[in-house]
Amino acid sequence: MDRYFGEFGGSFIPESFFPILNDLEKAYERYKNDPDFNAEFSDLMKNYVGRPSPLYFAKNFSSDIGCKIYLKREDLNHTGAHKINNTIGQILLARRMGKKRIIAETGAGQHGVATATAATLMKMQCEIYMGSVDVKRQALNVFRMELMGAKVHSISDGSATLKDAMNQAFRDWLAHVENTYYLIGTVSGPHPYPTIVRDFQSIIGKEAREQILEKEGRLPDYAVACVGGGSNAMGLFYSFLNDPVRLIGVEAGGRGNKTGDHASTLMYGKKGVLHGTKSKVLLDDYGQVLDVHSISAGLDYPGVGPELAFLQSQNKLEAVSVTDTEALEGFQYLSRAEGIIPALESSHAVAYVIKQASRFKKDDALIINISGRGDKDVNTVYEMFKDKK
Amino acid sequence: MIDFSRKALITYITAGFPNMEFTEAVILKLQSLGVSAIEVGFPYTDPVADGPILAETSLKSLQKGTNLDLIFQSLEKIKGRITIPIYLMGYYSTVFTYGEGRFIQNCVKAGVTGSIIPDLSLDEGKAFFKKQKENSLDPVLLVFPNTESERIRLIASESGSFIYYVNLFGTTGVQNAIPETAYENIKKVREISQKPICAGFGVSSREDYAKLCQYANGVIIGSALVKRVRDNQNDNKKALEEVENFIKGILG
Repeated sequence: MDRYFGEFGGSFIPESFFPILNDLEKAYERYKNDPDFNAEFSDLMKNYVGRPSPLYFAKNFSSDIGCKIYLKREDLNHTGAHKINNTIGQILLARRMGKKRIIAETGAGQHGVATATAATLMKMQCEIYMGSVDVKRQALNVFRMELMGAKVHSISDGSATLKDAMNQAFRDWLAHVENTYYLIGTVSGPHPYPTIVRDFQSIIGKEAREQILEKEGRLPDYAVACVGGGSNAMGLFYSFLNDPVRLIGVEAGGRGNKTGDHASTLMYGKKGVLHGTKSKVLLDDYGQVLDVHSISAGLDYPGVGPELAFLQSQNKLEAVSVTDTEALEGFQYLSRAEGIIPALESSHAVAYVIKQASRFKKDDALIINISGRGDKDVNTVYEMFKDKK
Repeated sequence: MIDFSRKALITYITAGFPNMEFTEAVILKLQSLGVSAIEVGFPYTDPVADGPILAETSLKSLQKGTNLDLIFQSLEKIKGRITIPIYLMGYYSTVFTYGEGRFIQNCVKAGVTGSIIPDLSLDEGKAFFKKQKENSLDPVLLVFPNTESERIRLIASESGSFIYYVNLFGTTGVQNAIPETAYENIKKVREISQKPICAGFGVSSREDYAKLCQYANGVIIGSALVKRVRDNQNDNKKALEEVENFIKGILG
């Protein structure tokens, strides 16, 4: 198994993790082609998660923009986002490795909910780390996790968001490395996590590719996904890597391109090390991690998966961004045009297509990954709009 | 290099906390108290291997504007008065962005003995460790309670003048007690390698120090010392006094 994607990846972690990650890699190598493992995964994907998720031709959106827009409906998955694909996959692995205790970090809470769900299903103990800022803006997701029996730790260190939650999850892991499985939610972290998470999420693109071939009789011209850590993007893009499909990753432009106002790591980051992987990171000249901002808790992260950094360096991935305001417009637009309320994360991908409408020609076919549903964000958006009304 | 003809006491301090003047003064103070070597911790925004005390002081140091250049400047300034080894300790993100070559060059210039980078393992650090040795620097690698024998052998041969044995699973700090297994593990490491072993993590008292000294060649104390500085961070003089009392208490 390759440890690196070009010059990105690797494992920059204390030695105590070495045997654990080694075991994880061995277990994954053993089970990824194991018929029983795959049968169990497929069964849960179908009967528990509700896959395949539809590829929906968005008629109104298409006619507004003047091209063919297909939405990959990950928002229709059980628990409301793509995150469950990965947590089910990893929990099956964790169970086979004999692990009893699961920990995870979460930003928007979607990965936390998906982890709590998978852990409950397998009767495992589950603890979730979440920044206190996110606990506040995603209170309902905290309650969901608690309903399923997970313990949620609110972290008020640093910026009290995803990065700090991840720091604390690493600390927990460091202390309980022998009995605990760290269920990383994005295509980042030390090897082999970026590969494992990407593989479990690649079901998105695998389905989307078959679905569009069936509906359009050809491949799409563009695949568009939001990028925080990058799991929904890699999940969609991976099946199109050898095709002439333009891949667009939409990052959080926040309040603007000044340091601390955005989370556009691919656009403004530099090669560096964060949370065990060498990738692009928002860093100062001394390697200190910079503050980030996004309206969306799931994109509020100063790093990005190493494979995305690699694809960008090979000109296979175009990194763009939209601001908080534009994302909000995307959120409202899709609600009104299609009756689909997207997550604020996915709203970034929607907003980019609206913003760059003139870029797309009449015959162009696009797939936009609607990575999650907006129910969790309705409260946040309501609070913002009620003052204006 | 550390004088291992007697049991060594190695102390960690967070550089730039509460300010660089204190860091310079405390290094000289520790040296005068008979400390064998000093780990100068360069701060990082996301210190995942550190407990609350080192994480807090690291962040406060950064807020004061501490960076590797300022640390090297301070060390160079007091270089003429330093007779014990100085190790730089911190996270790889900082070293990588600063540049491995520039880091090594400035270590040599500032009279630094070597480095301890806990998140840089055998697999990722080979080239950096080699470059350090070529420049007569001493990279020290860590062994953990779950490191297997074959791996210990590899780490021991790659590590410079001693091996850093981590007493426990978990972050640095005084919140953890040293488990009994630590002593057995140190014996195990000794069976595998001839190199001196210094044990750290969770050491906070004279008793801890004395007991570890029966097994290891040296003992590393970090958080328990930095806590004395943190508790007196608005008064450099008082902080130095507390450091002195603490070290005298440890050495007995």
